[in-house]
Amino acid sequence: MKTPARSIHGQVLLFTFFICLAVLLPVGGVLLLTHINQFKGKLSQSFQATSNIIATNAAASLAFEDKVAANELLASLVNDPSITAAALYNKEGARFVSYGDTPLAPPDAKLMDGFSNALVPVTYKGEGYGQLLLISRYPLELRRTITVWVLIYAAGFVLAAILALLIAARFQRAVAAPLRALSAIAGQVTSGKNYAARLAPDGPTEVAGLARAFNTMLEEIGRRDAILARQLESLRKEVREREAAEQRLAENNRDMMRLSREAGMNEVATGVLHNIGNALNSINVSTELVFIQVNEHARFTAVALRDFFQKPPENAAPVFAAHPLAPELRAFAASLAGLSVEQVEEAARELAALRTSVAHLKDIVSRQQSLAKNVPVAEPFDVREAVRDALVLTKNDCRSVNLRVETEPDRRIGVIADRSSVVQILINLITNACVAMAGRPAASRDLIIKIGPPAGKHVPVAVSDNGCGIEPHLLVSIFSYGFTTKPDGHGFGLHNAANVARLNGGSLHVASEGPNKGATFTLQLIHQLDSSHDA
Amino acid sequence: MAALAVCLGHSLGAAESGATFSADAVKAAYLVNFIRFTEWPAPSPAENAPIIIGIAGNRELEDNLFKVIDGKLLQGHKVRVRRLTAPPEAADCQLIYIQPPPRTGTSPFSSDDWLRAVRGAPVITVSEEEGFLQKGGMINFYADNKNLRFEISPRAAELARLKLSSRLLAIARVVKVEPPASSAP
Repeated sequence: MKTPARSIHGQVLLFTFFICLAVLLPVGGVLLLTHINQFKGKLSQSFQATSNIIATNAAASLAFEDKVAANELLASLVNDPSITAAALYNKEGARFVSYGDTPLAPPDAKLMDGFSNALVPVTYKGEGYGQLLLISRYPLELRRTITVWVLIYAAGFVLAAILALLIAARFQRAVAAPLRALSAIAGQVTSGKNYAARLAPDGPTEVAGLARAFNTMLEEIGRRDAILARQLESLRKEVREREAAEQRLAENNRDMMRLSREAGMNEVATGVLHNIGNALNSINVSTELVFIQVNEHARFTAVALRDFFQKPPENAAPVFAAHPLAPELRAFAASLAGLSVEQVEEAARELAALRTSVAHLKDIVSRQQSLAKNVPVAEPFDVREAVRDALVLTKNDCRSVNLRVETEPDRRIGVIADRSSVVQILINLITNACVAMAGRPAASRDLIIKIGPPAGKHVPVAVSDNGCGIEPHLLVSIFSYGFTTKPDGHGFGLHNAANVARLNGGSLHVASEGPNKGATFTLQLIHQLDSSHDA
Repeated sequence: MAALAVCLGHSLGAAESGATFSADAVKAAYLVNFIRFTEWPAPSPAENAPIIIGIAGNRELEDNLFKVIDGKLLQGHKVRVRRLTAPPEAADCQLIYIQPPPRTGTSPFSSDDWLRAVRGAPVITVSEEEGFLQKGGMINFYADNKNLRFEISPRAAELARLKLSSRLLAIARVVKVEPPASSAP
């Protein structure tokens, strides 16, 4: 069982008291026992001597039945206050004389203890004359003596207790009080982090030394606590940064997954584009051949045939003149030839248009292939080219809008980013702008793309429209994943565009004055400051 | 007194319980006790020799003594009680009792005669006569408030080379007298 904790004062008090007790108790006990034995022995001896003297001197009194002498003899005991009673019995056991209160007959000798009472035979020269009974007050005296000694020892104990109290009090002043002060200061330090608290270095040498050591320790603790606080703050900051980094890493992982999926899609697209490209090549070649055939040969043949019939050579005139139907045939042949020429020319024009369309298609496929194959790598390029590429790829969308690109035409505006990513973002923004303006009449759809000028470390590319605009409260969530206002939208385009812009070190922002007031998306890209790339 | 006699009787093996004891019986007991508390100079009494108690002029006392002590052992000696008729007979005794007149009747010997007969001899002389100690006697009975007491002359004992026990002296009235020197035999 665990004993409850005691104060030092209490422990010193108990310790001192127990030491005093441990010394006094056995010593006092031994002294008391020794004293009692000695006292008892002395009394016994004295009692024995008195008994023998009286008995010896009583022989003659008993022999001569001299009661006067016997009484005188017993009366002499008055000088010994420790004898309370005495009696002489003759041989027959009858009480001869007595002093004090005694029985008529001598008591049983076996009951005598030789201390409180004694029955002594009265003899002379071997002749017995009777018995002497003496009763002492020795037991009473012994009890008194024991009482006195016990009182003395009790006083000794009391003195020991007082001594213990004094020692404890002294110790209390010398040690316990400074320790309590130390405990209080330690409490302040523990509860209030008060490292400025100090102990007064007074009292005994050891306690003062302890106080000084404690103060030094407090200083050291305070210093180390400050260091720890700084380190803790640094660690917290590091943790926050790490958490942010982990968050970014998670986002990157998500992006990576998305990119992986896109890469897969790209792969499929690349394959499709490749096959389409091959087919387009064949179409292109055939178109070129047909174009050449029609434009060069068919046209020449038709024109020659028409000219033959309209203005026959001189040597062929007799042939046409000799035949009665010659004029009609010539006129028919001429009109037929003329018709052929028109048809050939029409076919040639259509073929030219076809060739242009095929070339455009080829260009689109080629560009899509280049985009699909591109690995996102930051590189310096002219942002105007990216805008141009995006516009080529959104040509169909932009067909029914009034497109205006505002930039410095002869000045290269260099940025550092993944070019295909930038083109994708721009395609997304241009397509969105066209969709936003779908509700307006075709003539009043204005799409303005403003490139630059560079501001600080960034180059802005703003895509503005005068379409349906954006509600102010939606401006906050427009870049969130899953947000869309289009019935067939997925809420991924703008979210992805903003993420890609951020991954490229830039940003994507939106501004709109409200519904039906159009919107402006501004893509900020890192400006290529190196002047060597500027035109 | 009766108790003393009974005590003596018991001690000597001659019980006479219930009997009435006279003053002589008591004196008889005293005489025996005198012998007990007295030491004789060696070689008296000689080994195996009896202790002789001589009674001059008191027949009752003699009878009492005879009854209780005669033939008994006292301090290792047999006790003999002898009737004395003339002073020379006292020389063999260890104790003589001299009855004073008028109970002596027609006896021609006074206490002085008896004392002269044993002067210087280790003999206890006992009487019951006024001035007995002054005459050189050793122990003298007297009545004190109807009690029988006795007085002792240590000087007489000393002259007789007898050593009386201090216990005996303690209960006796000690009388310091110088015996008459001229009364030597």
